[in-house]
Amino acid sequence: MLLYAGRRLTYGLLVLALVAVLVFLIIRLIPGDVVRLQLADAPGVTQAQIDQRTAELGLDEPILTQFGHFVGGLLHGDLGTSFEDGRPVTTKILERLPATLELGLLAILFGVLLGVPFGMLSAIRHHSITDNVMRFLAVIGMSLPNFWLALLLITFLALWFGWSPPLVYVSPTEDLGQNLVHMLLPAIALGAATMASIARMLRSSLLEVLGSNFIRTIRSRGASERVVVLKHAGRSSMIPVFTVLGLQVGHILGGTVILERIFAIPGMGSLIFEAVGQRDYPVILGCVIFYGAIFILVNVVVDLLYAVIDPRIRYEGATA
Amino acid sequence: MRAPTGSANEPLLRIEDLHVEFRTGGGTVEALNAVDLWIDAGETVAVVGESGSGKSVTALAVLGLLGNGRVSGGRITWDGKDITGASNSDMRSVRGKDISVIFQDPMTSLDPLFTIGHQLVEAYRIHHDVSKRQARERAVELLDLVGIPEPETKVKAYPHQLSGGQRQRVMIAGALACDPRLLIADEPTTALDVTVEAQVLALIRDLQERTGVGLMLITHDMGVVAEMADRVVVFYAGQVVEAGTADEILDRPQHPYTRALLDAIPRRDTPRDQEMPAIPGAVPALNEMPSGCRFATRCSEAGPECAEPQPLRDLDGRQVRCWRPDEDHGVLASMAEVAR
Repeated sequence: MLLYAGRRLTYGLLVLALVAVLVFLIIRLIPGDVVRLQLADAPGVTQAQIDQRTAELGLDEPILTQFGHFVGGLLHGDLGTSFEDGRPVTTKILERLPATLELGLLAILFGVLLGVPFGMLSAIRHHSITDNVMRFLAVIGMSLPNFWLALLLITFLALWFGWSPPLVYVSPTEDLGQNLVHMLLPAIALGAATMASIARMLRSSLLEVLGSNFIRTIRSRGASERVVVLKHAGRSSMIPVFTVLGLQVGHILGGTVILERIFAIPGMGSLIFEAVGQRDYPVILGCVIFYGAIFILVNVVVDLLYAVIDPRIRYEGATA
Repeated sequence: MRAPTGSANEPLLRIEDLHVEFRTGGGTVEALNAVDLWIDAGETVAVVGESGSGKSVTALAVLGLLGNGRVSGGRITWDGKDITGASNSDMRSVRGKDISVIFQDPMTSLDPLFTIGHQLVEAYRIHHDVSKRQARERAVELLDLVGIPEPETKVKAYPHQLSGGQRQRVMIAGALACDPRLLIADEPTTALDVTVEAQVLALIRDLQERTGVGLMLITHDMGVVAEMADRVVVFYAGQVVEAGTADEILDRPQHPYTRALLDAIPRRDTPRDQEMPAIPGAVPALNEMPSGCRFATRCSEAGPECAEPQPLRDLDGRQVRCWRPDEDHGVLASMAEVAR
């Protein structure tokens, strides 16, 4: 078990290192120049001033040297300072993190709380009208882009009920109710695909397990359907659901960039959006690495959960 | 010698004229057509026949576990009570407590995510209102009963940590957890090695002697039949074609199919270059069953009479679904066997 966990963590760190290198190189391919963007509006900027600013930001050094600085800082947990306002990237991220974390968790909660019962119902009543309706909705839920769904939600709520969400962010510690009203729509828009994927995956894995021999054994001993479905079949069909959930975290993180923008939520998503606009390399890099770390960590946890659920994975290391 | 109805010696399980159909993509197919059999308390009845002849379907029908199939006719009586088409909740009180099953494939018949102890505790507590600790004692006792060494440690094992033979022993332990009166063993040794097969059969027989449980042994192995069975019921294409005591069936088979089945057993003294005897042709598809004798197309003795529907006829102490049970042939066959 420890071996298994160690191996998963090592793979995770390796992937994270690769992400860091790739992102470092890729953002430099974005056309545009931070110094020109910053000084563009100032009248009568001289070449000397541009050069000076470039040197201040360390952009005059060869790219390998810049990369060296970046990696050196990273190993000390230092993500550098923002080109924009000179504040540490870590501080900027930590300021923005709570809102994004809340949005992401609400989206996952929405997806799981609705996706799991829908998937179960679909499997238990398979080929019924309920099942067909749910499968249809699931396909729609998976196909709709989250930002479009968000726009639809805003539009139709306004048209039908004359209600539009507040667009001023209130921190949950200040006024939780107000905060949730604000977060509700983006969380639904973000979690719809998660709900649909979970429902679909749970339906098919539950159906497969319910047809298996060990379920027949348990039924043959007089167990109730509740025990059969929730305890035995449910546990066996959880593994693919966790896999899907792990992957969905990636979609949710990606979705925050646009949805936080639409709903004016001051989270990491809008931070990335602003940073890209400003070519604020350290902030972009810091945020993407942070998102990458969250995604990888979640998936390592998912891998570990497999082992918790399935003893055959747990003992894999011991026998091999 | 059919067990009389409604009298004091009512059999434990009685199946009368049972029909079962399954819904498939292309309509319904009839998997069982007129199955009659009964099992007395403590007796061993072997149910034999080729794959797909309806042996397992009969077992599942008794337990009400047909899935997308349904009983479309006939009657199943358990201990004098009609349980045909009983509700799932009614059947739950019968499953495991009165009638238990051991399935064919022990490798996939245990939940891989729970310890065997957990599964035995669960099986016992479904029908007994006892604490988990008491049930755990019962689990250890059961493992000991089925000959698992070090039962106190083995209760904590997961199925994948056990061999196929051990898993089948655990299946047997689970089936016997609530002291059922009838045990249905559906080809319990098919998935096992030959040496393990003998051990498992010996265990079943030993347990039967100790507990007096009735046994419905589904098999296609005539050797197993000879060794274990009191009575034999032969299935062909969803029908019972012959039933009687094991001695009668094995020594003087009446139905041409039973004879062909017995002839198909390879013998040690058969010369190596001699081809293995086999029944020509194949079982007709379930949706293309002839209205007459279902074996006629493969029968060496078929005549024009075989196009008529064949009832299961009583014939001095046994039943045969053939219009001309050939006593002489049977005698000749057994004489031939003696000569061999």
